[in-house]
Amino acid sequence: MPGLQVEGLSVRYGHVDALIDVSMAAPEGRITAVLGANGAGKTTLLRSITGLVRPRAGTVRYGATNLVGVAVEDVVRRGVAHVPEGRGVIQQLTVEENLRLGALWRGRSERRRQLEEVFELFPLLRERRQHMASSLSGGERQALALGRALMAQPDVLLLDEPSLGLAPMVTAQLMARLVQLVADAGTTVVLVEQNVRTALSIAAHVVVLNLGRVVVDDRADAVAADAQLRRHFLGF
Amino acid sequence: MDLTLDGVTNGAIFAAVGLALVLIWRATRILNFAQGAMAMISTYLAATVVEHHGSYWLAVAVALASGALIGAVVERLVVRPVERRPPLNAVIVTLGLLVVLEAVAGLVWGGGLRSFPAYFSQVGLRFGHRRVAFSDFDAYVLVAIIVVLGVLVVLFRFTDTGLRMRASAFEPEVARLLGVRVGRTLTLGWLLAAAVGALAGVLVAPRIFLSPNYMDAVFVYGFTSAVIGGLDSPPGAVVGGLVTGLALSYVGGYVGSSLEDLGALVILIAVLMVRPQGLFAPRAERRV
Amino acid sequence: MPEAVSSAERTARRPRAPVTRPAWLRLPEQPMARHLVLGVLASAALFAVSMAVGSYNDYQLAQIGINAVAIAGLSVLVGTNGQISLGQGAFVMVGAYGAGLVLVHTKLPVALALVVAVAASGAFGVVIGVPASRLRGPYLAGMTLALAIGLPAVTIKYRGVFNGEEGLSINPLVPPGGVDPQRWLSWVVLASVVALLVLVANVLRSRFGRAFRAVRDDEVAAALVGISVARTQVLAFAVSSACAGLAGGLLGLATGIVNPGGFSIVLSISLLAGMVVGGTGSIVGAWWGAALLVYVPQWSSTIANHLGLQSGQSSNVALLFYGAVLVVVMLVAPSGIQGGLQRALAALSRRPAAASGSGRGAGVVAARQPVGATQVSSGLPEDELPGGSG
Repeated sequence: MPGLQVEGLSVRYGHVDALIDVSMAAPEGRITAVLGANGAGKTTLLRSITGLVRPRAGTVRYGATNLVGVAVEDVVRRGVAHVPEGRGVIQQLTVEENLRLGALWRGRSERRRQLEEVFELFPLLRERRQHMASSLSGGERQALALGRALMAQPDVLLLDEPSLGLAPMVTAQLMARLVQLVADAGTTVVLVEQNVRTALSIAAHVVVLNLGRVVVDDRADAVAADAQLRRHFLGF
Repeated sequence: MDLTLDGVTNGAIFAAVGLALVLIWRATRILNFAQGAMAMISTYLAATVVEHHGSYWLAVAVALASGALIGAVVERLVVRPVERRPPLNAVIVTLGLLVVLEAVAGLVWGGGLRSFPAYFSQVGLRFGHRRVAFSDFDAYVLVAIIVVLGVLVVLFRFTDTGLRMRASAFEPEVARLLGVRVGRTLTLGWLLAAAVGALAGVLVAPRIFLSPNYMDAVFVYGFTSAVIGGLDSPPGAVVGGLVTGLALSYVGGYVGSSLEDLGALVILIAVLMVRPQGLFAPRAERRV
Repeated sequence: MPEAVSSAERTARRPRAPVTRPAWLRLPEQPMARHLVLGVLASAALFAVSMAVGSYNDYQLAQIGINAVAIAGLSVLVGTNGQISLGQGAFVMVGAYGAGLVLVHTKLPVALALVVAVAASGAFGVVIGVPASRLRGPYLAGMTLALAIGLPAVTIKYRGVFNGEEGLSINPLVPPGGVDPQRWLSWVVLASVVALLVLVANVLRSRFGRAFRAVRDDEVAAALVGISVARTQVLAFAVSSACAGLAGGLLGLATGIVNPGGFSIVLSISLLAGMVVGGTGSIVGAWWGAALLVYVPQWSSTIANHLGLQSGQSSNVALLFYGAVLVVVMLVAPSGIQGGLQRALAALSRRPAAASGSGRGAGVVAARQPVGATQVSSGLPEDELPGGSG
């Protein structure tokens, strides 16, 4: 299962440069945390990997393919799952319908199998399977969004601020699940987070963005050990 | 009593048009002003088939197929470019389309009235010694529309395609992130809606005769139905259709037939004053 | 922390090079005076044109003027205030019948009849504007559509007053002295139209105009700064319908007849087409659209004749043209003729492009977080704005 290699990615909105010559690698089977202040370009990075945003330059290598220019729907079908900011849970559908949506292009039996696995991972979703997604709490929605992404058994999982709005304990549980998942399935995870400590605690690799540029690209333990770097870019 | 029956059958047709409008609205957030005109063209094509081949059912099939084709083509060529732009653009584009289609019909088939066969008897049925204003044909209209409604419900609730369409309508970007080919789904939505509209066109033609603008009034009533129920609600369109049909029937019967158009306007204003988003719409929140 | 100075910020901070013109060529700064001067200039120009052309063309000038004021009114409602209306034809009809009834049943002078037309239509605009102010988008469009289709039926229902399908016949204007009647008609039309448009231009520049635009751009924000959204919407309707009323009153004088057939949905759609092609939201653009509406029927008659079609088909050709124009313009050039001209002029005078880039007035350059802030300007297309913290 290939990791993700971003090279020279530049994105411009109108007159504003959101990403400037960004290069980073997300090693396969590991969790890579992408950190940075508001407006640093983290969400833009994820969106350009999936193709929601078209970069003006650069490549995103996934295995042998360059994902830049490939339609979003196709990027996703090739094994890249993206849980967007705000989770993207479709409120007007039920929990089960949301989950089914995650893998509509797969066969029925495979889908059924995957659904079972997701319910194993998040039993609370099984209890609420016929409920409207709008009736779920924040943590439950995050579980739903994650479960939905997993339905397609992705090789690469992009998560945009999953801990947003969640209580610390729920966040901890979520992160634990994530770690377990990576260990079991070998998924490559790119995790954009504001919650720096949590991210550092589970990531193997860290990338820090500032004003659209990469300022740190190193192993997580090295970053955690460098107090000056932490203070300068991460605030603690 | 007669007025009621009349209202119900008319209401079914308005419901069908309203439903077509709701389908398109939910999928693309566009109000298709050309819905009636598209149905008109399909019905004219069907009429041509009847004149040359004589088979009613073949004509109906042609109407549905051409309707679907017109819907798909219009979405791809004319509507796709304005889907992302301000709503005024889409309004004007569909209006322009309405005008173009009516003009083309006038040029190709002439402006005169044409008859369209009903296939079923239009004579009122007998109940005991009374003749009711409800004929075989009216029964056929009701059955056809109920069947179509049933098919649509099954499609949307129970199939993968329906799920895709609902997801694309509610959250197109999220749907893309889930691998749904949103563009194709939208085209499908327009295709279905146009076919439903074409059916309505065929069902209403025998009674009011075919002409380039014969669907104008039907469109207004269909739109009224959709609005009464709330543009986001398919069952609302059906209820709205019945309400509109019955109300117009009573207005026509008790007040005078020339005021029907105005009657629709009054109903529309009344409903919109009370509940601007329609009777069945969920409470809309204002995001600050 | 590295300082955040993006290219957008630098552009916004750059001092604008002042555009200098000789004093006598500059228009006065104050809006009222400015508009008066423009109005006088326009009148003079139109007067010159009128003198230069023959009597039939005078009639066409009158038609153009009538269309222009109706379209301009629609433009205020749709372009400046953002309310979609498909019923302008209905308001024209109210004005036409208003003036018509006055002229037929009383001996009041024409000027007064026109005032009645404007007032009646304006009042009706308020009546419709109140329920309309609660509606948005397609609901509003549908309601106005129903109005356009349904209102003519009133004249048939109340035959006694309105004389049904036959309508009212209006005596033509009596010109003073030795002036040609068509010429006199065009002068009356153009003078009253220009006068009303000058007033409208002033309204647009005033706080009412600002309120119109504020409500169009962001209702919630407008309400938060104390603008009454509903009242603004109703006022916009009133202004728009008043303009239509004048058009209607003048129409009766020009054609000599006022009947329901002349106010079908086709009229509303034509006015909309004229507005779109000329440039939505532009008073000057309304004149381009008005000219289009006058010459399209002529051109399509010619085309129909060339193609050997029956005379009745020329109206279909005209409609085909209108419809195609609407569709094509919206797909290709949504800002119409006036928009295209403005862009061309801007490119020619080569002003430093404002950071906002859009025609919506001065772009507000919004600062986000101070650390690592990127300046995001207001003119960006929706789908490319970065979401949240990205």
